[in-house]
Amino acid sequence: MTSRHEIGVEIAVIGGGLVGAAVAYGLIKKGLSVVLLDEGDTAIRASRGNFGLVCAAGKGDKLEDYAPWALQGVHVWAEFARNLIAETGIDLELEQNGGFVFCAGPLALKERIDMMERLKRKSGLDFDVMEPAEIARLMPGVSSNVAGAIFCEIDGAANPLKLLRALHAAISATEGALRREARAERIERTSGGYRITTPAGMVTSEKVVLAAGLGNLGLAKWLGIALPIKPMRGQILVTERYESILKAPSEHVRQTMDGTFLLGGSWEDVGYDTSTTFEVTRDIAAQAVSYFPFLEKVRLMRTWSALRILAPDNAPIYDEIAPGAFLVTCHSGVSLAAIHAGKVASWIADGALPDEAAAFALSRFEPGLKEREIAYG
Amino acid sequence: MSAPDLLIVGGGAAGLSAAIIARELGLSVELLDERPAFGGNYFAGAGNPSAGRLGEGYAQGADLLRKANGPRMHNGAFAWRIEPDGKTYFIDPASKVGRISPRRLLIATGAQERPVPIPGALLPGVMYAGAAQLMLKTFGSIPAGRAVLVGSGPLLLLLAKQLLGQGAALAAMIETTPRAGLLTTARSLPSALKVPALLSEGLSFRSALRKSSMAWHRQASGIFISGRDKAGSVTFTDRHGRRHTIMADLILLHDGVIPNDHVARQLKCKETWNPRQHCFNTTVDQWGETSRKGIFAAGDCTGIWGVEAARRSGEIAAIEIARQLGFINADERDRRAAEPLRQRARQVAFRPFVETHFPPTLSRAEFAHDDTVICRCETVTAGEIRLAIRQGASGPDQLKSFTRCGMGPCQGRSCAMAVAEILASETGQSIGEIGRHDIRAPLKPLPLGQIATVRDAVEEIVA
Amino acid sequence: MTQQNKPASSHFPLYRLLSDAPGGIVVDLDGEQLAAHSHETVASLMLRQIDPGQFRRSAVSGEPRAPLCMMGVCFECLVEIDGQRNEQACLVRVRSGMTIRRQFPRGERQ
Repeated sequence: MTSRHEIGVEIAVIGGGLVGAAVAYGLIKKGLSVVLLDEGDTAIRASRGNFGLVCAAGKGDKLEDYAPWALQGVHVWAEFARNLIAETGIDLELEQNGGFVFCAGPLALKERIDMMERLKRKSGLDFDVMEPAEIARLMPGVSSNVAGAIFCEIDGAANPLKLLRALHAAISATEGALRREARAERIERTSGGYRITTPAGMVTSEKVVLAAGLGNLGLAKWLGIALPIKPMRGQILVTERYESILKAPSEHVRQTMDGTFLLGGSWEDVGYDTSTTFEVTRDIAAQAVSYFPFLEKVRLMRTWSALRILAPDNAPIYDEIAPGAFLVTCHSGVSLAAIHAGKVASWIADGALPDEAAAFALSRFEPGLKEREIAYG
Repeated sequence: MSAPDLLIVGGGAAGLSAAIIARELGLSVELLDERPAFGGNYFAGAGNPSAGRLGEGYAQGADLLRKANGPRMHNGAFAWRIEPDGKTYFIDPASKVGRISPRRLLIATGAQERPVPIPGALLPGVMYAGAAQLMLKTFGSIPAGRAVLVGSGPLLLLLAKQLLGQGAALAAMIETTPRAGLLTTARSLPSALKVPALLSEGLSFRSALRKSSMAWHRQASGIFISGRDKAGSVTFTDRHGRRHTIMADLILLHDGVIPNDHVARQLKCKETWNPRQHCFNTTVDQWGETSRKGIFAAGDCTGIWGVEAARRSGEIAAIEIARQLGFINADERDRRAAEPLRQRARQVAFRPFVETHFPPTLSRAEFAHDDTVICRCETVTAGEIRLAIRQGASGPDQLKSFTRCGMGPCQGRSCAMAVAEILASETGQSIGEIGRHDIRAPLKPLPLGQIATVRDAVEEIVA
Repeated sequence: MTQQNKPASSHFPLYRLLSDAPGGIVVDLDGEQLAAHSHETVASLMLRQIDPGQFRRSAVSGEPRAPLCMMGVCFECLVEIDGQRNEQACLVRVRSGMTIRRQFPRGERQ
């Protein structure tokens, strides 16, 4: 299955999760010769622990340029999904019936409204504020333990597992484009580009895309770059199937097309620990039951943890960190999948990042880094 | 108030034996068993007044149950979350969450039927042979209509004998056991002869069955079950290549048993692939300690060694735990463990004979047709699994997320082995390398309300 | 053994009790009062009382399913007990006054 001989491509994308797969898919669509290097089943794989929201609401709180970018990402999702579904026959279960952000108390609601107003001035993202009675039209069974919610009409959700599967299926339709069990162990500069060492053989490429989530920390070091990203644990609960009742998702509770409920919303700064805890499981369950009392009798099926890949401002980083070496990292692999396969793949194919990308450059965190990068060229 | 010395999960042969010895040695013991009565699979119903009719070996179970009986033995209590330090959350029969933080944990969750994914196996009226045996032992019930036994293994022969003895109507026995090669028999016979009782027991099953009027087909293959809303018949090819269809109301499948090892897997205890048993074995040292210090496992949940070995393993683990906790010294441990260790070795020596004679046949998922259902809960077929592998699913976890295979209520108990077999045959890797999907809490689905209401109300069980 | 001559399509349970002694516990199965023995589980009672084709239907495929393992592993015996859905019938002992409801998608009954 694995051939040891060296292969050469125009672009090597490192990271078989949602970010890497979306970029690789976009590059293949542009006719480039691409190999996607996937670590395989043992990878940390944030993409498998994802909640699946396709949403713009609230993005850009700490970096306002992210607000219009996230909005664009949501706008192009439907067309992206249509194409990918047509190509693979895999239903991504995209629903764009709007999405909620719940606030438990009036103070939290007011703060959230202020933030949304501020971001609206930047991006134009429209939103409504709803009381429980209005929320219940889309989310029947909601209790008055919710003070109110922000509702964004353009938001929604997709099935992140099916998205990953569809991207892998589309990529593997090109012979040799998907390399499994191919964890990038070493990146070296060569005269014509890069050489990447993996257990599945050596890969040489003109360009390389670092899209390996937290793995980018180690990969960027090969190019002399320290990244300011870190893991932020989220625990997620999934229930048994239930009759279809919730028509729109929220950050804390959403019902999938299978009928299961996903419950989440925890943020824990605990490094690389991917275990679950009783306390957080209990708190998430308690919050969900408090918002939707009928969930009391619905069974918890599984719990898991996933590590968000967070930059200090929670926004993506897009940058050319060495000539022909592009960094793509973000927390929102689902919301941004379409724009990663579209615009971001185009930037990489063109070989230069446009002004639009400047706001997401690494230099926003540490001005010194940019100069080091110039020194490479 | 202090932490209990030992928590045992599972009240079958191994767990009960461990509880008896541990208490004798002065340990405070808690035991959780999800079933309404103790005894596990082998000694199920052994406490019932009618237990005697199933033979003397089984009646020993009544004695075991009587000795194990005590105030800290919890029935209908199900451990749903066990942490690497042994801390265990459980739901008691009144649906309340309790917590036990024991000094040592012993996993004794026994065996389960090896899942059999063959065409028609999902139909009502198809059950495992072990289920019919539990119906007899626990509830005094036997098949009401025409029953057919299909598959391979000692249990199938024993069950036939037991059911015939109780007057059940067995239409046929369709054995898939391959013809034993003389060479393999010769290799495993010497060690089997060390346990002549087991060997003669096996021979007595066969002679009892020959005397019955039940049709008996050997070396059958190509088996499928037909029916619309329930099973109506079973079709197979006999050893002469002839096709048969036998009408039946109840079809009892069996292809041996495998460890019921979800607890050890959730704790990520090391395991190894046992090619002769064709299942994973939890790695334990001679005392039963797993790769996680302080967490022990005993009985068939570590590998299929049989009921006698399970009892001895439980005792051995309890004796070592008593030493670790300072109740006895090493000399005392060695003195007490010598006999159970010797007896267990004798039992273990018999296994290669059984393993060579009854290799898995019906359950081999790598041979499953594309339209055969592998994951019963989510109705995922072998064909869908193979497609997902071609589309990039490189291991059991990725495969689960791609197909939902293993995401249903049984959490992969019915499909994990089959998935590994299919992955192995499609990718050329060995099953041992592939492994099985991660097991996450809860160990079984439970209502959110039972967890949500315990914010300040977790009852810590203390000794 | 009169059952042996019945065609497979007729409706009857898969198991029968060896003893004729009446059970002392009364449970409600979909509105019908059934006598059960105190050591029985919901699954063992149903297997000797109802046709296996009427046990439940899968919430995923809609196909009929019935108990398979009787040892808490397979989750094919799921029923609603006292208002709680998806209980493992093979692990729950009968109690007087217990209400058992079979589970069919979209409330359909056979």
